[in-house]
Amino acid sequence: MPMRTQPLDLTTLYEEHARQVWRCLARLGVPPASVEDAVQEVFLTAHQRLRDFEARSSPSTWLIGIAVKVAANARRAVARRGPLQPVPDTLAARGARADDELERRRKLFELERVLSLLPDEQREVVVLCDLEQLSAVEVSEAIKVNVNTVYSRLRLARTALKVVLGGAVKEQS
Amino acid sequence: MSDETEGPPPLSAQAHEFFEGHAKTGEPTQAELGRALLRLHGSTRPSALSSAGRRFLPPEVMAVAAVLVLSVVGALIGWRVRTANAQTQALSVAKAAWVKGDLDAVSAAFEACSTPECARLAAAVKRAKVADVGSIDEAETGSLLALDRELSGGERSVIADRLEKKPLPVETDREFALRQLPVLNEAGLSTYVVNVAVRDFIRAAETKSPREARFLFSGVVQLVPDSELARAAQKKLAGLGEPVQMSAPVADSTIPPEVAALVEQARAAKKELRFDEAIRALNQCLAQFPDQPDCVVMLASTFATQGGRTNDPADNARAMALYGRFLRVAPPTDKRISRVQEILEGTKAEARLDKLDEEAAAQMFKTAPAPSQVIRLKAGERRALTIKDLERVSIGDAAIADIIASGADDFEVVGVKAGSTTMVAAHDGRQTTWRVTVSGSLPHMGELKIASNPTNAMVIVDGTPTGRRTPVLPTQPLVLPVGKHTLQFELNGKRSPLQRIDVVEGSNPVFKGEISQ
Repeated sequence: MPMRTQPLDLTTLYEEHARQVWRCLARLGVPPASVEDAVQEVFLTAHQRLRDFEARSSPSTWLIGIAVKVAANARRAVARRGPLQPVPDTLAARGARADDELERRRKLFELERVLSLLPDEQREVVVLCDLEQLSAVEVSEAIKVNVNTVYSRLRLARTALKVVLGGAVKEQS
Repeated sequence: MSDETEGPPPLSAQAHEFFEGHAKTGEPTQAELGRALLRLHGSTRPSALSSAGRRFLPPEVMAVAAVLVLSVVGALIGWRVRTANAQTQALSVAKAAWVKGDLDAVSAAFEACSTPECARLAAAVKRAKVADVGSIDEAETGSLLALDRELSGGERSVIADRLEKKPLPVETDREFALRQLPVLNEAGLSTYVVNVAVRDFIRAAETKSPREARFLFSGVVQLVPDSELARAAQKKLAGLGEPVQMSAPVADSTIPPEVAALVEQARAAKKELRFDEAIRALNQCLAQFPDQPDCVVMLASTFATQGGRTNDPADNARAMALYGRFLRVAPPTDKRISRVQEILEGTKAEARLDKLDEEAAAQMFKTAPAPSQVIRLKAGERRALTIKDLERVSIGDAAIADIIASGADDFEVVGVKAGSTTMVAAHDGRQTTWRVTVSGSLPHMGELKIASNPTNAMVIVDGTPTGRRTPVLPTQPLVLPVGKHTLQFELNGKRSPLQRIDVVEGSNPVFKGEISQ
């Protein structure tokens, strides 16, 4: 992994990784209305810890690690106080792109429906490995667990997904 | 474990397809990313982010908040301390007043303090006041007696006796007189005059000599007229009856004309304080008529009067001997016999008491510990002392320093002339010894009477407020060292023009000032 020689800058970090962080948060169960806040939290945490970043992992892995914890907190908050009510579509619609927005939400809902059936630990590795295409080593660095544990969780998650998605296919057929 | 080392199973076809379909799910729009970046920049401004974390307020806001919190906490602590002090003070004043039975003072003390405890006690005292004049039931009496125990420190007070309808203890003359001390002092009389009046009243009440009692009570009436003490002295005087006139003309035809002439000559001389002339005439009478009772009693009376003025023990001794001789030579029908007997009895009793006093004092000095404290005085200077449970106080040489009693536990040591002597006080079951050293004399002092228009102005001497307000009356003059001083008056923040005054020894004319309003 190439090592950075220049010091990390928050704006650069954001421009390079915000999209991935945002996506991860949305896939890790943060309610759509709270994703933007969660992104803020991830980057503010990163901003505070920039000096402590030792570059033993890539910034991406480091940010994903923060995002996983922020998402876990968000999920606990949802469990505690219930999901945030989304803003009504009439207000959220963005003119000619309203259809696109609707489709985005439908897809997110569908993904959430499937992933929410997995335990949180399995969901994390599935999102990071199968959706974000991170290696098991990167995931183990991000969530601070052993690589074998990542494999173990991934195996269990994929087995579960096979059942869930197989059932879903049967339902559709 | 083989599963873990071999890696996870590959994604199923359905899962693969599902994830491919969701490759972009959760992707933000460019607008969302831009908006989030703007927010991020706003949040990471130095003023918005402290080094400790963004949940904290900026340092200046934290500082103001800390000052506010500390101020509020300080004010609360101060209020608490002040309240506690006020309650302690109120309780102290109330206890003193309660023991004296002054319920109004007790009530006032509690009402001046605003704590709930004071309010509770004030209410109870109000009930006690009602109980004092009316009838109350047993429960109320019980609660008031509990209050009594609380206020009088476990000892029974006058109030308790009153509550249980018990007769009040009879107040002795000494107790009555001592109780008048603060009353007379508050009336604005000179402390010295008050002390003398109270001391004389006690001596008059306790002496066995009606003559001395009559003399002392009369003095009290003159010293503190229109006071409770003076009225009590008047009552005592009325109880003593009229004195027998020793030198009254004796209407007896058996008296030889020479005797009558000499007695008359002696009386006139004595009246004008020419004691030598009076004594010569009476000795002449006795030379001619040795057993003439008129000459004997008149000579005795003259020596007694002279002794009273000079304080010469020899005159008193001669007077006593002549009174004794009178009793031997006077006919049994002489009306003066009873009065002379009274005088002799009183004198003997006084002598006995004096002897006992001297013996007790001598005993005190024998057992007294070494002096532990030194009192330094100038001649004429007074030092007030208060010793709890004072039983007796004696001084070695009254010609150097004297003692004036001013209360049950209070007395003053007065420097008389340069020298050193020892003072011993018995108190609280033990003795304390002082070395009293009198040196030189006080600077010459002048007494000032001061008036101002308007009155109630603070008197400022040499730029320093004296604590005295106008008018400063002759009964309690302002005493200043002789010499030049400055005088000024202050009322409501305004001062009179500065006056330069020249104080002379003793009495001075009235100094006056004017404050323009």
